[in-house]
Amino acid sequence: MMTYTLILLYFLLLLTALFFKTREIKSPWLFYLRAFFPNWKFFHAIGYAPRLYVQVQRADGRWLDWQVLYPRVKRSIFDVFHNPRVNLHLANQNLIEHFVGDLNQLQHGGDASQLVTYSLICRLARSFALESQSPFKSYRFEVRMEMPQLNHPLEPKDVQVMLVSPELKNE
Amino acid sequence: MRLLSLWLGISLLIQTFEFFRIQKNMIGEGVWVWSELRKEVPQNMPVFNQFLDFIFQEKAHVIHLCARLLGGLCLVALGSNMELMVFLFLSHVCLLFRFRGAFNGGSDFLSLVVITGLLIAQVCNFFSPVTLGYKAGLWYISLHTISSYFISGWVKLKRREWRDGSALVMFLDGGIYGPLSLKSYFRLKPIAVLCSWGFMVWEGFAPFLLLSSDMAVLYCEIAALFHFLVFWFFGLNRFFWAWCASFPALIYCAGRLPL
Repeated sequence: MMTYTLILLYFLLLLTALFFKTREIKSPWLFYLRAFFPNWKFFHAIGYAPRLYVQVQRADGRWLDWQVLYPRVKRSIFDVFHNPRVNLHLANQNLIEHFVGDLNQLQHGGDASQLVTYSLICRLARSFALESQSPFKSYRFEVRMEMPQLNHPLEPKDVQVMLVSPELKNE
Repeated sequence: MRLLSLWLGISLLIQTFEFFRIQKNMIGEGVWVWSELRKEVPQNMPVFNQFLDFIFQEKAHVIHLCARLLGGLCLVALGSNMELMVFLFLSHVCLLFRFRGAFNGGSDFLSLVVITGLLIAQVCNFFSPVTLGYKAGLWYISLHTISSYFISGWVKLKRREWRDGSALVMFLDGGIYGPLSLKSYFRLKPIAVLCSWGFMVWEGFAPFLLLSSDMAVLYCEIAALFHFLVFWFFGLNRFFWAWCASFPALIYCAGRLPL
Protein backbone atom coordinates (compact mmCIF):
# COMPACT_ATOMS: atom_id res chain seq x y z
CA MET A 1 0.00 0.00 0.00
CA MET A 2 2.91 2.29 0.83
CA THR A 3 4.30 1.97 -2.74
CA TYR A 4 0.90 2.79 -4.27
CA THR A 5 0.67 5.88 -2.07
CA LEU A 6 4.13 7.06 -3.02
CA ILE A 7 3.44 6.62 -6.74
CA LEU A 8 0.11 8.40 -6.39
CA LEU A 9 1.81 11.26 -4.56
CA TYR A 10 4.46 11.50 -7.27
CA PHE A 11 1.90 11.89 -10.05
CA LEU A 12 -0.17 14.32 -7.97
CA LEU A 13 2.95 16.40 -7.47
CA LEU A 14 3.64 16.36 -11.21
CA LEU A 15 0.06 17.42 -11.90
CA THR A 16 0.22 20.24 -9.36
CA ALA A 17 3.48 21.49 -10.88
CA LEU A 18 1.78 21.67 -14.29
CA PHE A 19 -0.87 24.06 -13.00
CA PHE A 20 1.51 26.46 -11.31
CA LYS A 21 4.16 28.54 -12.97
CA THR A 22 7.49 27.70 -11.44
CA ARG A 23 10.69 29.69 -11.59
CA GLU A 24 12.88 28.82 -14.55
CA ILE A 25 16.40 27.85 -13.57
CA LYS A 26 18.94 28.94 -16.15
CA SER A 27 22.48 27.70 -16.42
CA PRO A 28 24.63 26.81 -19.43
CA TRP A 29 25.41 23.40 -17.91
CA LEU A 30 21.72 22.70 -17.33
CA PHE A 31 21.04 23.64 -20.94
CA TYR A 32 23.55 21.07 -22.16
CA LEU A 33 22.38 18.44 -19.70
CA ARG A 34 18.65 19.12 -20.03
CA ALA A 35 18.17 15.52 -21.21
CA PHE A 36 18.55 14.56 -17.54
CA PHE A 37 15.57 16.76 -16.64
CA PRO A 38 13.16 16.36 -19.57
CA ASN A 39 9.94 18.39 -19.43
CA TRP A 40 8.03 16.03 -21.80
CA LYS A 41 5.92 18.83 -23.24
CA PHE A 42 5.38 17.91 -26.87
CA PHE A 43 3.21 19.84 -29.32
CA HIS A 44 1.41 21.42 -26.42
CA ALA A 45 0.61 24.97 -27.51
CA ILE A 46 -0.28 26.80 -30.68
CA GLY A 47 1.46 30.15 -31.02
CA TYR A 48 3.79 32.17 -33.19
CA ALA A 49 6.17 29.78 -34.92
CA PRO A 50 9.59 30.99 -36.10
CA ARG A 51 10.41 30.62 -39.79
CA LEU A 52 13.67 31.44 -41.51
CA TYR A 53 13.41 33.23 -44.86
CA VAL A 54 16.42 33.54 -47.13
CA GLN A 55 17.00 35.83 -50.11
CA VAL A 56 19.84 35.12 -52.50
CA GLN A 57 21.65 37.53 -54.83
CA ARG A 58 22.73 35.88 -58.05
CA ALA A 59 26.21 36.38 -59.50
CA ASP A 60 24.72 38.94 -61.97
CA GLY A 61 23.54 41.07 -59.02
CA ARG A 62 19.81 40.28 -59.24
CA TRP A 63 18.07 39.41 -55.96
CA LEU A 64 15.81 36.36 -56.07
CA ASP A 65 12.51 36.17 -54.15
CA TRP A 66 12.50 35.45 -50.43
CA GLN A 67 12.16 31.74 -49.80
CA VAL A 68 11.11 30.07 -46.60
CA LEU A 69 13.48 27.49 -45.26
CA TYR A 70 10.87 25.13 -43.92
CA PRO A 71 11.35 21.49 -44.83
CA ARG A 72 8.61 19.67 -46.66
CA VAL A 73 9.79 16.27 -47.86
CA LYS A 74 8.29 13.18 -49.46
CA ARG A 75 7.25 10.42 -47.08
CA SER A 76 8.38 6.80 -47.25
CA ILE A 77 7.50 3.94 -44.92
CA PHE A 78 11.17 2.90 -44.86
CA ASP A 79 12.04 6.20 -43.19
CA VAL A 80 11.02 4.56 -39.93
CA PHE A 81 14.34 2.68 -40.07
CA HIS A 82 16.57 5.38 -41.48
CA ASN A 83 15.59 9.02 -41.69
CA PRO A 84 18.74 11.18 -41.46
CA ARG A 85 17.54 13.92 -43.83
CA VAL A 86 14.32 14.57 -41.93
CA ASN A 87 16.05 14.41 -38.54
CA LEU A 88 18.60 16.94 -39.74
CA HIS A 89 15.82 19.23 -40.99
CA LEU A 90 14.10 18.93 -37.62
CA ALA A 91 17.35 19.72 -35.79
CA ASN A 92 17.79 22.80 -38.01
CA GLN A 93 14.23 23.93 -37.31
CA ASN A 94 14.92 23.42 -33.61
CA LEU A 95 18.01 25.60 -34.00
CA ILE A 96 15.85 28.40 -35.43
CA GLU A 97 13.59 28.12 -32.37
CA HIS A 98 16.59 28.28 -30.04
CA PHE A 99 17.89 31.32 -31.93
CA VAL A 100 14.56 33.08 -31.34
CA GLY A 101 14.83 32.11 -27.66
CA ASP A 102 18.33 33.63 -27.54
CA LEU A 103 17.09 36.81 -29.24
CA ASN A 104 14.31 37.15 -26.69
CA GLN A 105 16.83 36.90 -23.88
CA LEU A 106 19.22 39.39 -25.42
CA GLN A 107 19.59 42.57 -23.38
CA HIS A 108 18.15 45.71 -24.97
CA GLY A 109 20.70 46.94 -27.54
CA GLY A 110 22.59 43.64 -27.41
CA ASP A 111 24.37 42.47 -30.54
CA ALA A 112 22.67 39.40 -32.01
CA SER A 113 25.64 38.69 -34.26
CA GLN A 114 27.67 37.75 -31.17
CA LEU A 115 25.38 34.78 -30.51
CA VAL A 116 26.62 31.32 -31.45
CA THR A 117 23.11 30.55 -32.70
CA TYR A 118 23.42 33.57 -35.05
CA SER A 119 26.58 32.09 -36.61
CA LEU A 120 24.85 28.74 -36.99
CA ILE A 121 21.81 30.38 -38.60
CA CYS A 122 24.15 32.22 -41.03
CA ARG A 123 25.61 28.85 -41.98
CA LEU A 124 22.14 27.38 -42.38
CA ALA A 125 21.04 30.28 -44.62
CA ARG A 126 24.25 30.01 -46.62
CA SER A 127 23.87 26.27 -47.16
CA PHE A 128 20.33 26.92 -48.38
CA ALA A 129 21.63 29.63 -50.73
CA LEU A 130 24.28 27.24 -52.07
CA GLU A 131 21.64 24.60 -52.77
CA SER A 132 19.21 26.96 -54.46
CA GLN A 133 21.59 29.17 -56.48
CA SER A 134 25.17 28.41 -57.27
CA PRO A 135 27.23 30.49 -57.78
CA PHE A 136 25.75 33.38 -55.82
CA LYS A 137 27.08 36.74 -54.75
CA SER A 138 25.49 37.30 -51.37
CA TYR A 139 22.48 36.43 -49.23
CA ARG A 140 20.44 37.73 -46.35
CA PHE A 141 17.90 36.22 -44.03
CA GLU A 142 14.90 37.17 -41.97
CA VAL A 143 13.39 35.50 -38.96
CA ARG A 144 9.62 35.85 -39.11
CA MET A 145 7.17 34.76 -36.44
CA GLU A 146 4.08 33.30 -38.04
CA MET A 147 0.77 32.56 -36.36
CA PRO A 148 -0.84 29.57 -38.09
CA GLN A 149 -4.41 29.70 -39.26
CA LEU A 150 -6.83 26.81 -38.89
CA ASN A 151 -7.47 25.06 -42.23
CA HIS A 152 -5.30 27.55 -44.15
CA PRO A 153 -1.87 25.93 -43.81
CA LEU A 154 -0.17 28.19 -46.34
CA GLU A 155 -1.58 31.51 -45.13
CA PRO A 156 -0.51 32.51 -41.63
CA LYS A 157 -3.00 34.59 -39.63
CA ASP A 158 -0.31 37.08 -38.63
CA VAL A 159 3.38 37.61 -39.40
CA GLN A 160 5.91 39.58 -37.35
CA VAL A 161 9.45 40.15 -38.59
CA MET A 162 11.79 39.54 -35.69
CA LEU A 163 15.20 40.04 -37.24
CA VAL A 164 16.63 41.08 -40.60
CA SER A 165 20.24 40.24 -41.25
CA PRO A 166 22.57 42.55 -43.17
CA GLU A 167 23.69 41.48 -46.62
CA LEU A 168 26.17 38.64 -46.15
CA LYS A 169 28.81 38.06 -48.80
CA ASN A 170 29.44 34.58 -50.11
CA GLU A 171 32.95 34.08 -48.83
CA MET B 1 15.94 -7.19 -19.45
CA ARG B 2 16.95 -9.06 -22.58
CA LEU B 3 14.09 -7.57 -24.58
CA LEU B 4 14.88 -4.11 -23.26
CA SER B 5 18.54 -4.43 -24.34
CA LEU B 6 17.44 -5.68 -27.75
CA TRP B 7 15.10 -2.73 -28.40
CA LEU B 8 17.57 -0.20 -27.04
CA GLY B 9 20.32 -1.71 -29.19
CA ILE B 10 18.16 -1.41 -32.32
CA SER B 11 17.24 2.16 -31.40
CA LEU B 12 20.89 3.14 -30.88
CA LEU B 13 21.98 1.45 -34.11
CA ILE B 14 19.35 3.42 -36.05
CA GLN B 15 20.45 6.67 -34.41
CA THR B 16 24.14 5.98 -35.04
CA PHE B 17 23.67 5.10 -38.73
CA GLU B 18 21.84 8.41 -39.09
CA PHE B 19 24.71 10.28 -37.42
CA PHE B 20 27.06 8.76 -40.00
CA ARG B 21 24.85 10.00 -42.82
CA ILE B 22 24.76 13.59 -41.57
CA GLN B 23 28.54 13.78 -41.09
CA LYS B 24 29.01 16.28 -43.92
CA ASN B 25 26.71 18.72 -42.14
CA MET B 26 29.03 18.65 -39.15
CA ILE B 27 32.25 19.64 -40.92
CA GLY B 28 33.56 22.31 -43.31
CA GLU B 29 30.71 24.39 -44.72
CA GLY B 30 28.06 22.47 -42.73
CA VAL B 31 25.82 24.04 -40.10
CA TRP B 32 26.76 21.94 -37.07
CA VAL B 33 30.53 22.48 -37.03
CA TRP B 34 32.27 22.02 -33.71
CA SER B 35 34.46 25.12 -34.17
CA GLU B 36 31.29 27.25 -33.78
CA LEU B 37 29.46 25.10 -31.25
CA ARG B 38 32.40 24.87 -28.86
CA LYS B 39 32.28 28.65 -28.22
CA GLU B 40 29.05 28.16 -26.31
CA VAL B 41 30.18 25.31 -24.03
CA PRO B 42 31.07 26.61 -20.56
CA GLN B 43 34.86 26.91 -20.42
CA ASN B 44 35.30 26.48 -16.68
CA MET B 45 36.41 22.84 -16.87
CA PRO B 46 39.51 22.91 -19.12
CA VAL B 47 40.14 19.16 -19.04
CA PHE B 48 36.57 18.42 -20.04
CA ASN B 49 36.71 21.07 -22.78
CA GLN B 50 39.93 19.57 -24.12
CA PHE B 51 38.31 16.16 -24.08
CA LEU B 52 35.34 17.48 -26.09
CA ASP B 53 37.69 19.16 -28.59
CA PHE B 54 39.51 15.86 -28.97
CA ILE B 55 36.49 13.62 -29.34
CA PHE B 56 34.76 15.92 -31.82
CA GLN B 57 37.65 16.07 -34.25
CA GLU B 58 36.49 14.58 -37.51
CA LYS B 59 38.46 11.32 -37.25
CA ALA B 60 37.84 10.83 -33.53
CA HIS B 61 34.12 11.40 -34.08
CA VAL B 62 34.02 8.69 -36.75
CA ILE B 63 35.86 6.29 -34.43
CA HIS B 64 33.44 7.19 -31.65
CA LEU B 65 30.47 6.45 -33.92
CA CYS B 66 32.04 3.12 -34.99
CA ALA B 67 32.51 2.17 -31.33
CA ARG B 68 28.92 3.16 -30.68
CA LEU B 69 27.77 0.94 -33.55
CA LEU B 70 29.72 -1.93 -32.07
CA GLY B 71 28.20 -1.16 -28.65
CA GLY B 72 24.71 -1.23 -30.17
CA LEU B 73 25.44 -4.57 -31.83
CA CYS B 74 26.76 -6.04 -28.55
CA LEU B 75 23.61 -4.85 -26.80
CA VAL B 76 21.45 -6.57 -29.41
CA ALA B 77 23.48 -9.79 -29.48
CA LEU B 78 24.67 -10.22 -25.91
CA GLY B 79 22.58 -7.96 -23.67
CA SER B 80 23.88 -5.37 -21.24
CA ASN B 81 26.90 -5.43 -18.96
CA MET B 82 28.61 -2.82 -16.81
CA GLU B 83 31.37 -1.77 -19.24
CA LEU B 84 29.01 -1.54 -22.18
CA MET B 85 26.45 0.57 -20.32
CA VAL B 86 29.12 2.93 -18.96
CA PHE B 87 30.41 3.41 -22.52
CA LEU B 88 26.94 3.95 -24.03
CA PHE B 89 26.02 6.38 -21.25
CA LEU B 90 29.16 8.49 -21.77
CA SER B 91 28.84 8.29 -25.54
CA HIS B 92 25.23 9.50 -25.35
CA VAL B 93 26.17 12.42 -23.09
CA CYS B 94 28.99 13.38 -25.49
CA LEU B 95 26.57 13.42 -28.40
CA LEU B 96 24.25 15.66 -26.39
CA PHE B 97 27.10 18.16 -26.06
CA ARG B 98 27.82 17.87 -29.78
CA PHE B 99 24.30 19.10 -30.59
CA ARG B 100 23.72 21.77 -27.93
CA GLY B 101 22.00 19.39 -25.51
CA ALA B 102 19.85 17.42 -27.94
CA PHE B 103 19.78 16.41 -31.59
CA ASN B 104 16.25 15.06 -31.74
CA GLY B 105 14.70 16.28 -28.47
CA GLY B 106 12.44 13.74 -26.78
CA SER B 107 14.00 10.68 -28.39
CA ASP B 108 17.44 11.68 -27.07
CA PHE B 109 15.92 12.20 -23.64
CA LEU B 110 14.15 8.86 -23.51
CA SER B 111 17.15 7.01 -24.94
CA LEU B 112 19.17 8.50 -22.10
CA VAL B 113 16.52 7.35 -19.61
CA VAL B 114 16.68 3.76 -20.90
CA ILE B 115 20.49 3.75 -21.00
CA THR B 116 20.58 5.19 -17.45
CA GLY B 117 18.05 2.57 -16.29
CA LEU B 118 20.25 -0.24 -17.60
CA LEU B 119 23.30 1.43 -16.05
CA ILE B 120 21.50 1.68 -12.69
CA ALA B 121 20.69 -2.03 -12.94
CA GLN B 122 24.35 -2.89 -13.57
CA VAL B 123 25.68 -0.63 -10.80
CA CYS B 124 23.12 -1.91 -8.26
CA ASN B 125 23.89 -5.51 -9.22
CA PHE B 126 27.50 -4.84 -8.38
CA PHE B 127 26.62 -4.06 -4.78
CA SER B 128 23.47 -6.10 -4.10
CA PRO B 129 21.51 -9.18 -5.20
CA VAL B 130 20.92 -9.33 -8.96
CA THR B 131 17.13 -8.92 -8.95
CA LEU B 132 17.21 -5.74 -6.86
CA GLY B 133 19.39 -3.95 -9.42
CA TYR B 134 17.18 -4.98 -12.31
CA LYS B 135 14.09 -3.86 -10.42
CA ALA B 136 15.62 -0.46 -9.68
CA GLY B 137 16.59 0.07 -13.33
CA LEU B 138 13.24 -1.06 -14.68
CA TRP B 139 11.30 1.12 -12.25
CA TYR B 140 13.48 4.11 -13.15
CA ILE B 141 12.63 3.62 -16.84
CA SER B 142 8.94 2.99 -16.12
CA LEU B 143 8.44 6.08 -14.00
CA HIS B 144 10.10 8.31 -16.57
CA THR B 145 8.16 6.79 -19.46
CA ILE B 146 4.81 7.03 -17.67
CA SER B 147 5.66 10.61 -16.68
CA SER B 148 6.35 11.42 -20.34
CA TYR B 149 2.83 10.35 -21.34
CA PHE B 150 1.22 11.80 -18.23
CA ILE B 151 2.76 15.28 -18.60
CA SER B 152 2.29 15.34 -22.35
CA GLY B 153 -1.42 14.50 -21.90
CA TRP B 154 -2.15 16.97 -19.11
CA VAL B 155 -0.37 19.95 -20.71
CA LYS B 156 -2.64 19.42 -23.71
CA LEU B 157 -5.76 19.02 -21.57
CA LYS B 158 -5.04 22.47 -20.13
CA ARG B 159 -5.16 24.12 -23.57
CA ARG B 160 -8.43 25.23 -25.17
CA GLU B 161 -7.04 24.69 -28.68
CA TRP B 162 -6.43 21.03 -27.87
CA ARG B 163 -9.80 20.56 -26.22
CA ASP B 164 -11.64 21.94 -29.29
CA GLY B 165 -9.52 19.89 -31.73
CA SER B 166 -8.00 22.85 -33.60
CA ALA B 167 -4.44 22.28 -32.29
CA LEU B 168 -4.37 18.77 -33.78
CA VAL B 169 -5.21 20.09 -37.26
CA MET B 170 -2.72 22.97 -37.01
CA PHE B 171 0.12 20.73 -35.85
CA LEU B 172 -0.64 18.20 -38.59
CA ASP B 173 -0.63 21.05 -41.14
CA GLY B 174 2.86 21.99 -39.95
CA GLY B 175 4.22 18.44 -40.33
CA ILE B 176 7.39 17.83 -42.29
CA TYR B 177 5.58 15.78 -44.93
CA GLY B 178 3.42 18.74 -45.86
CA PRO B 179 0.03 20.00 -44.75
CA LEU B 180 -3.01 17.73 -44.57
CA SER B 181 -5.05 17.58 -47.75
CA LEU B 182 -7.99 19.96 -47.77
CA LYS B 183 -10.31 16.94 -47.82
CA SER B 184 -8.60 15.19 -44.89
CA TYR B 185 -10.96 13.65 -42.33
CA PHE B 186 -8.91 15.32 -39.59
CA ARG B 187 -10.32 18.67 -40.76
CA LEU B 188 -13.82 17.55 -39.73
CA LYS B 189 -14.37 19.04 -36.31
CA PRO B 190 -16.00 15.97 -34.64
CA ILE B 191 -13.13 13.75 -35.78
CA ALA B 192 -10.48 16.27 -34.69
CA VAL B 193 -12.15 16.62 -31.27
CA LEU B 194 -12.51 12.85 -30.86
CA CYS B 195 -8.87 12.18 -31.82
CA SER B 196 -7.57 14.98 -29.59
CA TRP B 197 -9.54 13.83 -26.57
CA GLY B 198 -8.65 10.21 -27.29
CA PHE B 199 -4.93 10.97 -27.21
CA MET B 200 -5.12 13.39 -24.26
CA VAL B 201 -7.10 11.00 -22.06
CA TRP B 202 -4.98 8.02 -23.11
CA GLU B 203 -1.77 9.92 -22.31
CA GLY B 204 -3.03 11.65 -19.17
CA PHE B 205 -4.19 8.40 -17.56
CA ALA B 206 -0.96 6.51 -18.27
CA PRO B 207 -0.25 5.78 -14.55
CA PHE B 208 -3.24 3.40 -14.52
CA LEU B 209 -1.30 0.97 -16.70
CA LEU B 210 0.61 0.02 -13.57
CA LEU B 211 -2.50 -1.71 -12.21
CA SER B 212 -2.18 -4.83 -14.35
CA SER B 213 0.22 -6.32 -16.84
CA ASP B 214 -2.65 -7.00 -19.30
CA MET B 215 -3.50 -3.33 -19.19
CA ALA B 216 0.16 -2.44 -19.72
CA VAL B 217 0.39 -4.72 -22.78
CA LEU B 218 -2.70 -3.09 -24.28
CA TYR B 219 -1.35 0.36 -23.42
CA CYS B 220 1.97 -0.40 -25.11
CA GLU B 221 0.24 -1.73 -28.24
CA ILE B 222 -1.73 1.51 -28.54
CA ALA B 223 1.46 3.46 -27.77
CA ALA B 224 3.32 1.71 -30.60
CA LEU B 225 0.52 2.70 -32.99
CA PHE B 226 0.55 6.25 -31.60
CA HIS B 227 4.32 6.63 -32.07
CA PHE B 228 4.07 5.17 -35.56
CA LEU B 229 1.47 7.83 -36.41
CA VAL B 230 3.77 10.49 -34.96
CA PHE B 231 6.47 9.18 -37.29
CA TRP B 232 4.03 9.06 -40.21
CA PHE B 233 2.95 12.68 -39.84
CA PHE B 234 6.02 14.34 -38.32
CA GLY B 235 8.90 12.12 -39.44
CA LEU B 236 9.96 11.36 -35.87
CA ASN B 237 11.22 7.82 -36.45
CA ARG B 238 13.61 7.98 -33.49
CA PHE B 239 10.70 8.59 -31.12
CA PHE B 240 9.10 5.34 -32.27
CA TRP B 241 12.18 3.24 -31.45
CA ALA B 242 13.13 5.10 -28.28
CA TRP B 243 9.69 4.64 -26.73
CA CYS B 244 9.38 1.02 -27.92
CA ALA B 245 12.64 0.36 -26.06
CA SER B 246 10.96 1.38 -22.80
CA PHE B 247 7.89 -0.88 -23.17
CA PRO B 248 9.46 -4.05 -21.69
CA ALA B 249 10.11 -2.08 -18.50
CA LEU B 250 6.47 -0.90 -18.36
CA ILE B 251 5.15 -4.42 -18.86
CA TYR B 252 7.52 -5.78 -16.22
CA CYS B 253 6.56 -3.20 -13.59
CA ALA B 254 2.80 -3.29 -14.21
CA GLY B 255 0.93 -5.45 -11.73
CA ARG B 256 4.01 -5.92 -9.56
CA LEU B 257 3.35 -3.21 -7.04
CA PRO B 258 3.53 -4.64 -3.52
CA LEU B 259 0.29 -4.08 -1.62
